[in-house]
Amino acid sequence: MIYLDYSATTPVNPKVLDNYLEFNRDYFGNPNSTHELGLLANHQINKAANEILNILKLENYEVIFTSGATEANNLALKGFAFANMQKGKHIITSPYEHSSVIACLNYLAKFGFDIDILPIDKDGLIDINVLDKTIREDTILVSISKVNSELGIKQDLAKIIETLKKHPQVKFHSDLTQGIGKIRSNLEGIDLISFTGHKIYGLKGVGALLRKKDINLDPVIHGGKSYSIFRGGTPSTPLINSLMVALRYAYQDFEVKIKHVEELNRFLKEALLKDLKHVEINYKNGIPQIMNVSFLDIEAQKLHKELSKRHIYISTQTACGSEASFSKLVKKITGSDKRAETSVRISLSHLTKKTELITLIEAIKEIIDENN
Amino acid sequence: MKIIRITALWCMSCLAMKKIWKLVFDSREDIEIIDYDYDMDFEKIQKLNVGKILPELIVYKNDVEVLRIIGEKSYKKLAAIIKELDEKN
Repeated sequence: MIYLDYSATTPVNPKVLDNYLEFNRDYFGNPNSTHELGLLANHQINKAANEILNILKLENYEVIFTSGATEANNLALKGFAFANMQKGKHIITSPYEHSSVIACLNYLAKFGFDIDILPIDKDGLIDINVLDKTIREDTILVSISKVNSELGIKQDLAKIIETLKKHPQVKFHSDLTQGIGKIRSNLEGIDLISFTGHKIYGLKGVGALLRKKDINLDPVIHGGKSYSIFRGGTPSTPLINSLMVALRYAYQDFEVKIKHVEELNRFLKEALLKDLKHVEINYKNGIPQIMNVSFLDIEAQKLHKELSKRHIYISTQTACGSEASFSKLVKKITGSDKRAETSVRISLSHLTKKTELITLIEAIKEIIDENN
Repeated sequence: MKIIRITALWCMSCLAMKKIWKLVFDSREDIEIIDYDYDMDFEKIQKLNVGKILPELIVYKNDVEVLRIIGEKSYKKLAAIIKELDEKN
């Protein structure tokens, strides 16, 4: 098997898994219980939360543990919107957010919230001046992800934060699901930050919303008194701890890992352009872990399927509700329907080997030859 | 005129079209709009042979389907389509 879909999910770091099993044995007490075993579990959650904030260099934030980034985005958007709707009902976003962000915004629109989607330039970046001009008196929230999952486009959050300083009534949410563990970035200034464990070699079923302490939210999941007043339910001490451990390992030897991925990215790009005909790299300034490529001689879904038969796993962007491939974002960036129809995402990791990329290129070559 | 409008919560184009639909349709009391959700109303949608791209607007005149408007459209384009349909009356 050659796995090149690390932006969809990552294999679990064995050390994270070991730690999870250990915590299931040693800290099974209900952290909401007031006896010693419960208090012990609660203490471990506190330790994990503090360590997460420490790793991300954040002060004055609360960690709200969730089932993943989708729940974190739901709590950030719906929770914030409903808690602050008396101040205004205008929200601003970008055109390439995750479906969990889009779904929340479509849902909020049913309750009278007005959503503006910012245009992007030829490099996929939002225009800060347009953002500034789009802000109104009733704007309460801006939600823009740091890293786009399809092309790896990196937004300049510092510029967004700087602009929002002029509008203190407007709060800022960023979905950092594709950013945490892949890039180092100053996160201070973001009011609400979503991320998940399974994109950073952690376990599925746990994520977090980091809430700046002055941000008010309505809970999305109501329940009894729990670790956070914003999220009911019995917290899973082992999963929560596993998130912290995954995060710690994600940033361990970070520079070495990034250098390796950058080298792989460079190698893959050069080899694809050299060894294959009619290849277009769709975005060149993204994070090194994501490469979006169009193989113009084969439809993306077909290539994806044929590679899968050979146990090589990459991903495609599918159009709304369809099996046909068409990337709206690639179309927007390149202006080409052909490139949008034939684009695939190859996502790399520090675990990826050069030999795997050589096998990938050979397989693509073979598949294209068979199809023409 | 009657329009069956098919959207999905996870669809960015559907979100993008909301403002344009408001501009085009809010003042048109003569246009009946029926909303179907791609996931929640899947059984109904299957019968309508909905295509690969959302949103999809199926336009009926006197209960006869006359047009399908598929995907994102600018205000200018959508207004022109509706005007043309009006003129065909």
